[in-house]
Amino acid sequence: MLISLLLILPFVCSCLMLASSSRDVNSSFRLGLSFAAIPLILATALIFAGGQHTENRIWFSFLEVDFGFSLYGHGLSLWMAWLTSLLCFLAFAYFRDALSFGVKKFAVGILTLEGTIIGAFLSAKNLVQFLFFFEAMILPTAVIIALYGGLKRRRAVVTFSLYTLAGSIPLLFAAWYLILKAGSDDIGVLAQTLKTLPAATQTSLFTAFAIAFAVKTPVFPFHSWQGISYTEAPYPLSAILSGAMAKVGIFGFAIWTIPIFNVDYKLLLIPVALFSALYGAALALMQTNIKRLLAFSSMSHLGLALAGLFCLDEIVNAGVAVMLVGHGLTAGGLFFFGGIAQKWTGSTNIKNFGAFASTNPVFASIFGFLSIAAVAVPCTVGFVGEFLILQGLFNSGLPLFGVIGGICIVCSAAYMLRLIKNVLFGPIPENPARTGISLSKYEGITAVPIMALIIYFGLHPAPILDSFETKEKNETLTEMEMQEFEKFLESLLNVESIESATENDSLENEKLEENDDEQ
Amino acid sequence: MTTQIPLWIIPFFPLLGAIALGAIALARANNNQPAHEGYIGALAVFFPFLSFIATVIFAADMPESIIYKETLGNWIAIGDFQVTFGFLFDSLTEIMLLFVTGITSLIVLYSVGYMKNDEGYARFLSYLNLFLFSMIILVLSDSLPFTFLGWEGVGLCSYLLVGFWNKDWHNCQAANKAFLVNRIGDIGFLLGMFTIIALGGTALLNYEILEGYLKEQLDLEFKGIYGLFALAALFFFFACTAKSAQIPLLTWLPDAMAGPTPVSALIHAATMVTAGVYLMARLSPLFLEIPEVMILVLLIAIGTALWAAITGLLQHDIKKVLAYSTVSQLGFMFMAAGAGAFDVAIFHVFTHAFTKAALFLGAGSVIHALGGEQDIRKMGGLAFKLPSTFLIMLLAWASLVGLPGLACFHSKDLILETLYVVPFLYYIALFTALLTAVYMTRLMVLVFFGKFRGSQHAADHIHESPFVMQFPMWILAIGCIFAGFAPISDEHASLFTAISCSAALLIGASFAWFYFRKKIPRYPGHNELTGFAKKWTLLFDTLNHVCGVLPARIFMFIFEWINKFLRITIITIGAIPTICAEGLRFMQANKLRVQLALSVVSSVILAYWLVFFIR
Repeated sequence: MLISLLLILPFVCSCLMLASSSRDVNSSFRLGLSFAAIPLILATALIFAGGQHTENRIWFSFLEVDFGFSLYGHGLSLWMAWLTSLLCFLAFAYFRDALSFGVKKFAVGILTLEGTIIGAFLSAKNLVQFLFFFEAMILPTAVIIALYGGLKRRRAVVTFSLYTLAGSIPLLFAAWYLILKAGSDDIGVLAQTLKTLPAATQTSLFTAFAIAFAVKTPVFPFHSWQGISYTEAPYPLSAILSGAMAKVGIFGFAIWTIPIFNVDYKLLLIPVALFSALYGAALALMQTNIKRLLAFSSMSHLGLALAGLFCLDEIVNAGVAVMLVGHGLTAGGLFFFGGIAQKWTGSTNIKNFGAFASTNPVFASIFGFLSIAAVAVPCTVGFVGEFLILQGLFNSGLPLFGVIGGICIVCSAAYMLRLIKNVLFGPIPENPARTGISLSKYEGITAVPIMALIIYFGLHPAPILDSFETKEKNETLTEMEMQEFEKFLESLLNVESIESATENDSLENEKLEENDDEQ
Repeated sequence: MTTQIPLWIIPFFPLLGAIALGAIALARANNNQPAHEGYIGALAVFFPFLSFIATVIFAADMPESIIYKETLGNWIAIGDFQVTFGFLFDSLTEIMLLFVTGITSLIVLYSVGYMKNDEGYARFLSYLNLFLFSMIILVLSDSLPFTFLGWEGVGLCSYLLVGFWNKDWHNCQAANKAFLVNRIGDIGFLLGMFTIIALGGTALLNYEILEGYLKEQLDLEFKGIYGLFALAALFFFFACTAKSAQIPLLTWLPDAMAGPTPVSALIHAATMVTAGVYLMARLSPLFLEIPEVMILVLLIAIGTALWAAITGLLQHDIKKVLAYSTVSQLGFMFMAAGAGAFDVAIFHVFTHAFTKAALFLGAGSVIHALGGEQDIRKMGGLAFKLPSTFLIMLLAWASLVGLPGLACFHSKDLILETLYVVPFLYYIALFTALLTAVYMTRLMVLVFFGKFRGSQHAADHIHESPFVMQFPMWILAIGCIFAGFAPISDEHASLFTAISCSAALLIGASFAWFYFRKKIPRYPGHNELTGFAKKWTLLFDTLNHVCGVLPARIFMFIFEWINKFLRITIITIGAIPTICAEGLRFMQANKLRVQLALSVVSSVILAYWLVFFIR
């Protein structure tokens, strides 16, 4: 019930927002902020409730296939949904003093976007439903970029929409093919159908899935849309794009690729992800535009998370979740405060910033804290994630992976220190506009939960980690977990022996029934 | 024993201090009236001193050969992966903690005077408290990941403090270098931990369990896992080379002298840089089983000590001379560790901490007196103008070069003694000790003897430091005399070593005395000392550049081109529909007659097709 509300309410709220006044900025801001708080409260409540939350319904039937609509909130799904709602809430609070024109339209756009992203994260059972949300989130994003973007926003909208839509075309065809083969869009049925297909088909289907998610994340070489989209989007949207939406790609790999395709692509995919991480880090080292720098740093971090995911280890998966939450918080915060620096200096070039440590110590300490958190120093949430992931990479069969992951971390320190140096340090510029400015109320408030959560999860990541351990505690297994269990059994024994075993079982059952009848 | 104070209270005090002072610094940041400096200073000294008292009480209560443990809670716990916060207090921790908290309290007291009237007064003292917190965590923790928290924490504080005067790009550059080099070493630490996890799960990350496991494996003669152990030891040693500025990761330490002088004394001489030695001593059960790595440690240590001593001879910056001297002395500590005498290494850490802290604080006092001048070519003849500082420096000098009876004499002779098994190494180390005497005497001669070579303006303003600065210096100077009698190592150097060391000292010191009294390097007329100077690191900066920065740049260049290529590809693909559309536009005729004709023709074709092909 609660989980359905979490999905529906953002859309309802965005419809209600349409009725608010576009002239009275204050009232529509307050309304929007309280609307944005609702999903956050719901998601937090779901997390506190623990365990897993499911809702199952039949959506529609077409070509004799029943398409279900089910919401599945557990572990990664729920934490990502929570992160999305948090970032959207903060983005809206931040928006008040940073941009504050067209509050109503922004609220409508952000709430719709939030609903679609949460929808994608909660779809872990029905493929068509997932694809619906996966594509739907492009629309509000494009609209917000078109309304609030920078000078080259038209090109950004076209690039973003076309690239991401084109990227998922192979996925659509693959999904179509697979669903028609399976006669259902349930993840379990799909996984079983895939096993019966020839290996070549499996590989091409896998490629189609992987490309779509690689575009969304983005992973090298499908990252070309990222630079311009992040740069031209308004700062709060960039924060949501890198903090929440990019995770849909990783979520796609975690839920819709790895469990379905039981082919072991480990040694192929980890190097791709690691190369993407290195590539992002190297390009981040060269950027002078702060948004581009943050975009590439995001690419680097997510590449590392993806590499961790491909280790196919349960503990590392929990580490990936921690890292994603941490990255959402730090990248989101950095985008917010980068935006403030731009507002003050009127430039996106980091060479034009400088000396905030001397002129605005409060801003400088927040920005410095967030940048150091992005370097993943112990005590911050990033460290827990990177520690688990690097550990997994090192022990994944080829220790070299761990070493390369380590190089990524050194690079992340290099570009973040460069960013800190350019933004915060240096001689005080003789710009009169720079004196006597300070953070506004809402800008300051935005930073507090981010910093508190970074430290909290850094010292006590148990809330996130525990949500990956409930499987042992829950005695009743869901259907999906049963199938996973079966898959695990099959990998242990030969497939044939299981089939013969089930035949034997059925025979025995029949015998028993006969006995019962006789008695 | 029932009135035991909890262990967590020791790091808790400085953390509280850091938070309180940080809050004051932020709250007063844009205020024209900064908070009262006396109040802030008192607060800043109060917390480290409380921590020192707690350590003393704890150490006094502790009977021999009992180890206190305290677990605070889980950190990263999922499935078999269990990492906890826990403290361990044994004799090694006791020595480290006593001098870390003690010397930090003294140096914070000194900073209260030294940093007076600085803009970031409260911020500076807050960082010092945060540093103490991290350092205590480093030495007090009972497992590798928790130690790593302190390990990175001290690196971070070092970064913040080196770049403390952040309006100067040079300082920021030096700070970035320090952090990055330490970060490279940290990767070694991480990989070492992962190797140990690969050996036997996260439980082994605990020091005591690791020791027990090693004993077990020793009985089994390391069946097949010797290689992994060696790898772990190698990784950890790599981490130590960065933190303790050994070959190849050593040039960051001289650059780190860009920070305020109390920082150089505290972090880059007395405490943080010795963390590498501490880690080796902590993991001594591991290192002792891997003779190959120990030989490597020994060779690198001797190379570093010799190299730094030679480089120290060529410096003109008073702090850089001392920085290279620190690198050289760290080399001596690693020599002892490499020879397997970890207690001797810790002994030298202990005596060296007092000596080098006193030297740096003395240097700070000289810089303070001369209004920020650091070039020894512009000093001279200060012995009678700054008598108190001179006496303190003289005592520390005597201790560092190994004058019989003073602190470093005891530990240095023991180090040489342990090396005597290989006479060749022994004589290299002896030669390094001789060089130590030469460059230290050169420093003393150039600063305190002869005529004053600075400007008349500077000469008029020379003044002795205030009491707040002199008091800690005198305590440290007394430490230079008596620290050698601390009961850390049971052994005593043989008469032969003592005599040969004294001979080396005599030869080196008298050579420097007679040579540098006459030949004073001339000041070239412009200051080349500021911050991030590449000169006189004897190729190591170039080497770092070639091995680290250059490949990174090449990769960046290649990736840049790949990125350009990708963008061109995307633009090309995007252009195809546009071109096709342009080509098809002629169909979009805007003349009525043509359109009409086209539609008639197409209707005819359609009708024809309908009639003849679809029956």
